Amino acid sequence: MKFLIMALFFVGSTSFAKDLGSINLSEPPFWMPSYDEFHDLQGFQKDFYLSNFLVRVKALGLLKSPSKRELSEAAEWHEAWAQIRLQVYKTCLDEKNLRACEKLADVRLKTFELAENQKFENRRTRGVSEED
Amino acid sequence: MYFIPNLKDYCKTSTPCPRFRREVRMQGSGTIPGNKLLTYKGKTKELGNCKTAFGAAGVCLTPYISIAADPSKYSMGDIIEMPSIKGKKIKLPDGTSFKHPGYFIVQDSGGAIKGSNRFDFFTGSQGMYNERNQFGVKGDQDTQMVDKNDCSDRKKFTVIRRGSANYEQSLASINETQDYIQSQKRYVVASPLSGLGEQ
Repeated sequence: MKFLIMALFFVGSTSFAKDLGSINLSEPPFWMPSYDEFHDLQGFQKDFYLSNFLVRVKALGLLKSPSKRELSEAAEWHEAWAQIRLQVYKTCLDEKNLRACEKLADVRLKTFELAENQKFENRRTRGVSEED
Repeated sequence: MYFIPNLKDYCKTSTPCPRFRREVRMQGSGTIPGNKLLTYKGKTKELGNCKTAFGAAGVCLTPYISIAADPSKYSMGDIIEMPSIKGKKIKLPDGTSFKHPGYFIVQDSGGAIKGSNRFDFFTGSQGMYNERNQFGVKGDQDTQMVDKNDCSDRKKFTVIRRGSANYEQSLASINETQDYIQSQKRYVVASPLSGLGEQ
């Protein structure tokens, strides 16, 4: 059933395959984490990413923005995540979407910030006060 | 270079002493008994299966292998190959050693680590001035990483992107090293004999 739902959701997405050649997902800019990068995150980081992704992705004007449920399912399924990611990357090829794409990429960066090293030098650069 | 101080290296009892707290404030966190982390805010966190800390990537950090990099330039899991370090003997605080695979893996980030050519090397529980820190100022000249202005040939590196053709092979080499370290079951928990040597 789960497979059927996801398959229906991504009907027509085969057209993305032809764009794959022009997009290098392993090189910056990283608009969205890969499934493996996402999968390694701690639970609280995943929750943060998914909730903020849903907010930001709406501004991107995807042909079919994933629903919360679809995104949650994709978070557990490599293929579905890759399809959403490819859709995002394809949309971000269009310069008129650059600002929205940068905001989406910021969600990824903020997700890492939640668990990054907090030595004094790093805190100072981030402008974190000692009382925070 | 960054590290997570271990209480055992600073205090005579299991209660965080002022010297340890000072270091935690500087380094952001420190390991305390019970496999927990004390943060600079005074909070404690469970470390789970980790012996040192989690990085931004959400996985346990491995001393002398894990590095922090700018996540806008690198994916977590990207590998940095540095041929000059390959095969170099790295001694851990408990006296055991391993041969460096010549690879580092991006598993953390930091506010001050910006740009494509900046990395912060995780050195376990040893600080820059600790004589047991192989990358520190008292480490072998071949393995020192401490001078930010040193851009000598031995620091040349290549990036192996996560998902690229030769990624799995490089990752296997890192995993092999990690397995070897873990098989010794000593990892980077400071030895009781290590003394109170942090500067």
